Amino acid sequence: MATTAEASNTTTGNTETATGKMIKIQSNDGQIFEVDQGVVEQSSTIKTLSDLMDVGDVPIPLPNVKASILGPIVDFCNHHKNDQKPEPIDEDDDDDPNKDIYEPKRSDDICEWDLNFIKQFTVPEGTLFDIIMAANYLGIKTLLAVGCKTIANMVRGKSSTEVREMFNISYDPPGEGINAPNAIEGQAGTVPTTQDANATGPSPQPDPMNQ
Amino acid sequence: MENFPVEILHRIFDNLDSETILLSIRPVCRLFRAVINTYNRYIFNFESISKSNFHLQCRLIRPENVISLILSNNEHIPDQISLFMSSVRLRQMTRLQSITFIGINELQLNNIVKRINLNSLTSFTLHIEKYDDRRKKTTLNFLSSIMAQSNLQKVELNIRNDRISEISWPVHCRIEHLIINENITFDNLCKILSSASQLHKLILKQDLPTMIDHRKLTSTFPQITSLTIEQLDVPIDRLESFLMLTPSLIYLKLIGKECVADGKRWEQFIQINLPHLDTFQFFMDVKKSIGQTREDLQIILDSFRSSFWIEYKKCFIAGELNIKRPHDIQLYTIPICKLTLKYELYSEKIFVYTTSDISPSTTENINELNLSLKMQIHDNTIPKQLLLRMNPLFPKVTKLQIEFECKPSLKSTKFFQSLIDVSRLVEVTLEKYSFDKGDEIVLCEIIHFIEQLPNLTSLTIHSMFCKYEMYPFLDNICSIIPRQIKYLQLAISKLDQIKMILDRCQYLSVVKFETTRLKLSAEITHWFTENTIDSTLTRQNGCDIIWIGKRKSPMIVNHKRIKSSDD
Repeated sequence: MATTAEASNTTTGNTETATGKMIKIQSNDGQIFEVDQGVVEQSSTIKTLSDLMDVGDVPIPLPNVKASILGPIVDFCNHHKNDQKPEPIDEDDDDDPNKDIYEPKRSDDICEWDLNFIKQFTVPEGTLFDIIMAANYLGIKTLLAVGCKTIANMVRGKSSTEVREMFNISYDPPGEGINAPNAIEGQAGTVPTTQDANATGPSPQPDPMNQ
Repeated sequence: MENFPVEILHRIFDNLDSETILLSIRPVCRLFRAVINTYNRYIFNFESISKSNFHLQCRLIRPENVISLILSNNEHIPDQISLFMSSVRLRQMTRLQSITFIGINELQLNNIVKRINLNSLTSFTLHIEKYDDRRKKTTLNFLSSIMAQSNLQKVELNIRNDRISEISWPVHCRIEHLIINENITFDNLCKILSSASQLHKLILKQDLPTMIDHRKLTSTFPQITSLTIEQLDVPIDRLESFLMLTPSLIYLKLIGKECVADGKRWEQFIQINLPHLDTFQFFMDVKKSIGQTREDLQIILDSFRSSFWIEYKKCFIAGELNIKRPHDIQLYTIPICKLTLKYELYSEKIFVYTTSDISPSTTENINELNLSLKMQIHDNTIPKQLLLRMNPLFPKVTKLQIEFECKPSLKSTKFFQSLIDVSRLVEVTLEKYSFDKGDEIVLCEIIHFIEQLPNLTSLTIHSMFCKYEMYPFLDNICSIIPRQIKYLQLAISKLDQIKMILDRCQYLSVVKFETTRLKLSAEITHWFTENTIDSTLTRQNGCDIIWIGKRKSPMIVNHKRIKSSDD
């Protein structure tokens, strides 16, 4: 049975607020979150669905995201909804004339709030992978960037053995299972499927994020 | 992580250097190997790479998958560019969006540029080290052709004025962002600005062109909205004449001497000539004919306390005065807009501000700190406000140079932590007139301390004179060199120390040994010939510099190649 979470600051049931129309979204385990336009604008998936479906009071189903991940994502979007929007032509540009848009992408520029936010997700629990997959599915570029930079920071300077240990990846003999060379062709360009906690699997290694 | 779609893995790779992608991730499993084979946004940056990894990358990455190329001939890696040219099929570099050549010679430049495809180029950075006038015409043709590229947006030129002056700039040059590192003439600058109608960001890293006040200036360049001048040293009226050419400025940064010391004059000038100016940052060293006091500093800053500065521009100024050098003052906007700062711990200073709200972000832009220690560090000599700080005084510093003008003390590491966020440190330089036996304990303590730093890649321990004073404790130093570093500069006195260092530092790519005896230098060359494959050795200014090739395992014998050049 669906339950409603008060994910925004507005009163549940009131679908019009100072920030505009409220929209309901539903996780794959039935929890409903009410979000405003500021949140919707950050997710290309939710925005497209809400535009297409003219949903009214019916929650938009998000079958690839569970409530324990969708809740924090709504928090993330609420925190960032007043951020300056990037120029539509170049997503890396901003109004800072000092910023060099041609510099290679850096992964040490995650802001403090985002750093603390991402720390609640871990490799052993698989939640760090869940949040990245969900950000990708929902089309939330800023959150996806934070997740990818976090993973990049974890592997930088590590040996391949350390990377295997960190993510609990076994070294596979050639041509077997998911690591078979042709497995990649099946994956390329596809939208991720459901957030299966077992798919990422718990890792016996301590999470470097929390060290 | 194996369950990530390819596009997410590629996004993660976008944040990583090619060394990590190829050496850490590729060998993890077959899936990653396959994903990496489909990745096509490599950034080739060979600024600090071991020679064996250099070859490996040239072999493993297909040239058409490289979008950014950074090549550097510097004193540590003298022949990198020619080696790159012989290792990579340049004609297959068809997707380059960004090119950076540092220290290239003109022949190399001509040979590379004529082979690679420039159609996708958005960014081009050039520093020519060796000029050859026989190649000048070809160089100019190539540069003119690059400037005409339709996608080109950013250009940085660190080349001689006579080369810049003869570039044929296209009528509708599309560049938006130009950095000039050399002194160029005013005519040249005007010529560029007249062609580049879309140029909105201009950075002059040298002083303003001369002769600007000798002529009447008629045309203006309203396309420029952001201007930075980094080594300003001209009279204020000349600067004003120049700024009148750029009436649409939104952002202005000035670093240099003298020019900004009168808030009232600048207020009027901005109101009349730069009506769109939103952000004004400066850092000025000002020399006064008479010694200054706190009251004098207050009077200067009073001119920046009007509602124009405080309320309208929200521009707050700090004035700084060293009591021992009262003729020299510094005036700067908050936060400090310079990237590099010299900091003297024990100099008695007077600070005056136009705001009472001094935020901790005042020093957040500084990433390189030159620290001068003129007195020993004791508990009672570290300023209390430093020790009480919740956050370090310079939170974003990545390069730290410490010049000991006294004997370092055991309190040093505590002091460093109050000053900088040590976890960010990438480069550390420890310098003294002469490190001697009495410095051993504290030097070892500092090295032990920096060994814990996760991002450290470069360490220099440099005695300016009397290097032999370090010899009695060099073995100890070599045995504790941080394992993670890629670059090391240190004196050595015997060959065993090389092995000790190389055994500890597996990632070491360039090492610079300070050696006073030519006999030892010859022995070092021989050692690397015997124990590594394909190392490059040069000797410059009393140092043997080695770009380290593949290390031989004890099993491999009689299989050596070595290049040696002596400058």
